[in-house]
Amino acid sequence: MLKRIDITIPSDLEEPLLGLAEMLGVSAFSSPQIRDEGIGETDFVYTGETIVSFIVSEVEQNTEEILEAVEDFVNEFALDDDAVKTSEYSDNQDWMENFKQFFKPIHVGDNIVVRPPWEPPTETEKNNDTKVILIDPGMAFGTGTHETTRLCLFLLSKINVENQTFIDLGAGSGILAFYLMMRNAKSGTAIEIEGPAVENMKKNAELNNIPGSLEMICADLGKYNPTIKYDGLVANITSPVIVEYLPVFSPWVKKGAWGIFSGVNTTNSQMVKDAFVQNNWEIIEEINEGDWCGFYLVKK
Amino acid sequence: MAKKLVAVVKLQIPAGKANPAPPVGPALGQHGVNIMDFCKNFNNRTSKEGDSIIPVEISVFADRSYTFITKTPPVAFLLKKAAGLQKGNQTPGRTKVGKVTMAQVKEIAERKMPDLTAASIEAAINVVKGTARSMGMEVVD
Repeated sequence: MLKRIDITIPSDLEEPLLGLAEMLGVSAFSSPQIRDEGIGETDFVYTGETIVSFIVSEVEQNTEEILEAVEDFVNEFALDDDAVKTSEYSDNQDWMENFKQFFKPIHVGDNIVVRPPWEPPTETEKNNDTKVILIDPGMAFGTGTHETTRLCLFLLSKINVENQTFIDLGAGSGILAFYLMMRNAKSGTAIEIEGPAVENMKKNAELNNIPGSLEMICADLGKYNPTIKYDGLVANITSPVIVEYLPVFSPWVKKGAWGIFSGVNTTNSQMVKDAFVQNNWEIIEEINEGDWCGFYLVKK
Repeated sequence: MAKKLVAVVKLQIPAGKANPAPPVGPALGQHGVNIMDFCKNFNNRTSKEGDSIIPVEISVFADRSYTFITKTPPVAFLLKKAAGLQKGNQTPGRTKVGKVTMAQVKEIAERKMPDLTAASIEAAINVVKGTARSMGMEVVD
């Protein structure tokens, strides 16, 4: 049996408490507490509290002695009485399997399923029209099913892409590009700036038997030079990036090409819509999910 | 896409030797991080760091993707090295297991300053002294 001892401390006591764990020979980790301050990656603040967790093997270690040492620490630094909480893990805990509970199949519209490879096929998949995208989660992306990805998939499902060429900007997991290839697009280019994401994208492309006519490239949008003009473009990237790079990538598509955009928060939507108009895109449809917008455009 | 941060977890792992056993398993499993994927990435990044203990800070996002940064060796590791200790005291605080000098404490504080939450070098020195005390070490002039 493993006992977990969580000790809530002011963050400046983290090193001393980890020092105690080191001397006791106890496995430990710490979780600085954060408070949500918005929607972005950096929109959070540290609260100044940290929870340090000791993981004690009751078979191999003297739990009582460790708890006494923790109590001494609590007394020495005058921590609150309820600073220490204990819980237990079962003997047969499989840490590697544990994370899988967070990844379940996601349905988009009536005929798109995104699921991890270890989950069995869903009922929806019995329908031959259903497109199933398998995603093995990794560092660069997890479920790959952010609201904005779903908005893009939903809008893409309305477009006939058969035999067309497309470019996917900020491709991430590759979900959107995979979906288009599954719907018989002729060829595609998926661009992603993060190297690890491109590596994962390539592995997931194999998992989904995506043909080699999908090119997966690690590149900066500002430095990429396409060799053809595309029939369509999908971009699930943040509003500032859309606005900054619209003049760069708008000429990459043919007149009359479709454009699917998301990654736009409702608070920024007007700014992005103005940029679409300035760059000769006509807004055909706008949809929302939560705080996010998706756009179906046509290039004038 | 902008991702929403849901948790920050800090671990200390021997270079190149992350595995799903505690503390990595319980620390990351609770947040839905693909543990084997993390271990592989951490080991790739740190395999040339010898026998060091590497503090690593992992940011977990709402979609269960993550990033991690590695930091300078932990204060406890540096103190043990300074005091010439191999093993810890099983009942720290009750008996003294070793000594470090104030000069060593200051050196460690200066080295760790970028990674500590301390606002000044004096505060960092206090963190190092507090760590020494909790480890059962005496700080001498």
